[in-house]
Amino acid sequence: MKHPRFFNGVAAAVLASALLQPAWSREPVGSIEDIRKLEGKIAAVAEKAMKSTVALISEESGASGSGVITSADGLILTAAHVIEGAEQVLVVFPDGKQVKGKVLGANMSKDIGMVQIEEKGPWPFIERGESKPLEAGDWVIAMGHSTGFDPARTPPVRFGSVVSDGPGNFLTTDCTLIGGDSGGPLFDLNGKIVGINSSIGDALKNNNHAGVDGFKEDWDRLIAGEVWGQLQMDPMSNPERAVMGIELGSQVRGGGIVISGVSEHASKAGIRPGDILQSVEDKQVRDGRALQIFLAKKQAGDKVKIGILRADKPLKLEIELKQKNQIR
Amino acid sequence: MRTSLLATAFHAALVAGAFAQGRGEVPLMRPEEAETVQRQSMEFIDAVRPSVRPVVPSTLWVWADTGYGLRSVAYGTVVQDGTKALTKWSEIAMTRGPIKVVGGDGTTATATVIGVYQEEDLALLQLKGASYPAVKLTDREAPKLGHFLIAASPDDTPVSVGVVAVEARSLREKDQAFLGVIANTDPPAKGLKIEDVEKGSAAALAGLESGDRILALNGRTVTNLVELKSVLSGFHPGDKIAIRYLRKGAEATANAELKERNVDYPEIPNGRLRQMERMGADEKGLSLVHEGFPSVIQTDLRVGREQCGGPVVDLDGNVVGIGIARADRTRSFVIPAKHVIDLLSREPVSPEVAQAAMEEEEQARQRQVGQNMPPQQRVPRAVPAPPGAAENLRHHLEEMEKLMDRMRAEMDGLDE
Repeated sequence: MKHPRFFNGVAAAVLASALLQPAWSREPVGSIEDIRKLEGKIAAVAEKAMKSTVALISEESGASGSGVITSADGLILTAAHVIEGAEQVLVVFPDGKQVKGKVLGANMSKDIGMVQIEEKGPWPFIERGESKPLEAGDWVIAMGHSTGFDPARTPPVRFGSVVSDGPGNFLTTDCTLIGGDSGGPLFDLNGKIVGINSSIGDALKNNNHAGVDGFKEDWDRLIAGEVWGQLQMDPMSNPERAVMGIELGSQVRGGGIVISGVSEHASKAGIRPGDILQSVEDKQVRDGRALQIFLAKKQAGDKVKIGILRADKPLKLEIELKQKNQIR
Repeated sequence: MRTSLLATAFHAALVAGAFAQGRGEVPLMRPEEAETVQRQSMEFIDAVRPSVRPVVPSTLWVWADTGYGLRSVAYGTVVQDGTKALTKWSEIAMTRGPIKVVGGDGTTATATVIGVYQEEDLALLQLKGASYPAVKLTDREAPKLGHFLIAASPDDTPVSVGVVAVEARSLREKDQAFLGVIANTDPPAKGLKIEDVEKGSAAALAGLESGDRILALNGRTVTNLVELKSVLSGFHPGDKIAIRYLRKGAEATANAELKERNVDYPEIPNGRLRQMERMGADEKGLSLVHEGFPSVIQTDLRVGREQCGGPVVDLDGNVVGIGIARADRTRSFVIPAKHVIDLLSREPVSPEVAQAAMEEEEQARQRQVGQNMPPQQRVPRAVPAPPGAAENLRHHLEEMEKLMDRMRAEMDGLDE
């Protein structure tokens, strides 16, 4: 909540100078035949996913979220904030069947968590897909027990597309979500889990999901029951946001920013204090904020090309981004 | 804001997000992402245009003055001989002066309400001065989960494309079957322990007593209340059900005839949820009446409050039903075509009767508001209510709710 104005004023202008990607390579919807094919896929996913889309109810508070079973032995993926503070939850299937679930680990920064059904399976489950390749225009299907478990209805199906990737591991879709949907699954058209419902903003287009790839990196810690991180919707204060590990100094007239300090990581990548950062991915860097917003959409592990000026000589470097909390 | 309450934690994240992003925006959305999404949605709309075309001439704007001047307050669907149309009753119930309908080609007719289907919130209009092609209603099966629905508008561009989110069901309370027991699962033991049996309820008439433990309904094991409710949701009042239960260690079976709920259990007000329901309402207004329909398909169609009442079609151009309400951020409701056919074969009530019922409902609401206020604030009304007072009050209440939502949001902001 430290930078509310930050996004309002700056984001749109700055992002105009960000990368231009050929994003128009999505599932076509040019004809009614295309739409019919799409319909067939959505209906198939909805039917298949239904049985695995469960409600998670905390017995202490009575509050209710959602989750999705991803293995035959009953491992459930959900949002960290749904299981926060609970050790056990009731797992309710769309048909009302109810079993107990043990809360495993959670990474609050990514808003991802796990629950294990205690009773022996096999349980109906859905495979995980990949979230990193997703970008604006990809069709997705969201499900969840909106406004809490309702025995008179199946978990509502919502259809839409990715409207923006990032910040970090998150992505935004226009599948409208509401309380109770949190922790519920986002599917691609093949019916694989690609995200977990996390939060909403005011706009109907602003529905945020944690990318499923976030689980991959944290898998062992989550299974082991570790809980860490900080729930923070402001991408700039997210401890896991991607950074280069440099300190920025003053702005240089005519474009670029002085690099006033470098971490061990940045140093290894060849950056030196006093270098002037001129471009990122061949685009000119206007100021520190522009750079931060650009990086907010990236993830740790991404490699970024930068252009610097050292002793009046231009130099091209590549640096791998790191989580902010891993930089010393 | 560090609490273990799930809903609370969720809300904290949500408000923070909403504040950081500002209204009507997606944070960090790149211009080319915006372009992709917009281009895609335009392509999509173009592709489904032929599906919706057959019903465009049957879709009308309904103009009325409901206190904000003459404007389009709802859509209408032309039915029967082309001089009748169905529209959303609650949007025109408080109209002053004449009602007009306008077609996509500009053809205008005057309209009179000749009947009201109260439960469906539909008014039947008699049109004078022009006639329009009627929609073709067939009693085909309601569309299945995940299938596309397209909400038509009087012009060539459909309002919205959505999917069947939940297949047709009743939202009417009297369609819910109740057993009439208060039960709990604490301490964990075999069966669902009955704490109390409501007098005159299905359970009481079947001979169940407090202390009995319910084991199964019609052969389906129930171990807790959610399961009990889930099983009951598959039945209707009047259905018979076999209850296997445990009394003093011995199993027995009772046969019960399920009933409607006869006590009003107080609903727990959920302010946070209400706020979320309204999120996005700036883009598309919410319907005043959006509950209790006897049969509706739930969809994620983005129709505005003033776009309800028009036809909704599938990809083949078949009329699936009539859009009846925008309920919240995630939900819109469509009355299935089959139900509309049945309804048109019934005699509607007169608009006067429907209006009186509406006033009565409003008064009941006022009484409820009065009861929930501290006693010293309950001042008897000295002046008789002028005409239109009910509608004014409704506006005030709406404004008040919005104000409260805003205040709640700000309070939560402070917590952060």
